[in-house]
Amino acid sequence: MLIPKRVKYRKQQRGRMTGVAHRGCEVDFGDFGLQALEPAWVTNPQIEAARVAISRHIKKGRIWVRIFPDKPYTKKPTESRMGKGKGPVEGWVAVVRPGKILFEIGGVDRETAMEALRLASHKLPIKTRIVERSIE
Amino acid sequence: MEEKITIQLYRRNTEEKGKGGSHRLRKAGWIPAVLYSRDSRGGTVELVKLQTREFEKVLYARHASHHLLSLSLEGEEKRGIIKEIQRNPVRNEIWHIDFYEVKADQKISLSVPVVVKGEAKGVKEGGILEIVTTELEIECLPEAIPEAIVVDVSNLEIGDAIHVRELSVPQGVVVTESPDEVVVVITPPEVVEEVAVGEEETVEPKVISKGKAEKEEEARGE
Repeated sequence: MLIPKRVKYRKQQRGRMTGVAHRGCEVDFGDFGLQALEPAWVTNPQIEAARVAISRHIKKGRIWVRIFPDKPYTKKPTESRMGKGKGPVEGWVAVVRPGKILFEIGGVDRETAMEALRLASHKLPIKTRIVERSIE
Repeated sequence: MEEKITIQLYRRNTEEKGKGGSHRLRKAGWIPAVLYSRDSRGGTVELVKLQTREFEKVLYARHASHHLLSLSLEGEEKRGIIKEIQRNPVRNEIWHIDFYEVKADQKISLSVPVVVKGEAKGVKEGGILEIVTTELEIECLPEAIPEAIVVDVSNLEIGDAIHVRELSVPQGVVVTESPDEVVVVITPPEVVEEVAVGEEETVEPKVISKGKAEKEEEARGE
């Protein structure tokens, strides 16, 4: 599962997910990509599930995971009273804004890529669309 | 000789400047843009606008981003290229365009697409053709802008690569990227490893800065 090797601080503030992604919005490595259409926190198990779904379908070819869960999220234990500080780290998420390319695939035919990305999209908590590399 | 791409530009009035003005323009079917040249240093930038539908037609059908354009600014004929296109990544609407005016005797730098020709031997054997550099930065005179840099990959086997130094570019064109830069490579087929569920152990990340409590403890220790 994806997790940072080292971090500067143990816990982070939540932040806002307004606006659209300004970087990582184009298919840069492969031929096809999965683009986010909604903002969300995508957890590392979700990223892993989507990656596995793609790799099981395409068998050969190459996958690029364009997001990384570098934000820790915390949760207070159940039945605990409010206060007494921030809860322990529960997991890791990638902050995804609309427009971000989440996965890319290269070296496979169009039909296989489309199906693999469709399967991956079902593992994610957001609406997505499949995009293709193009020359303007 | 290919037909010239002509783009009609209009000057923006005072109400069409700034954030609000640009927003109103986009709603009315226009794209706000700027036109500048090498001599524009010091702020002499022309604020212009153009019709969205007309521009999108030439952009997608004729790949206008990599061509020398004929810019008609209210009767004045200029020649230029597209320096930058800003767009909404979700709706793909064009937000803003930078046009760069060029002179016939002045060398310009721009990026042109890399087009792959032929089927590589390595791909037939199961390798993956990876186009590492999709656009190449070149320098040439406006008249010599090539439509694309064609890379013949038919002789490549698994593990072979074509670097910038091995490219054959048209006369008068200089590739400004590093000669060691890889353009295309045939990678061996990747064997996808499956990790069994529950086998993997998640390791806590190392915290490199000290928290408040740790700092206090350290101070007490001293």
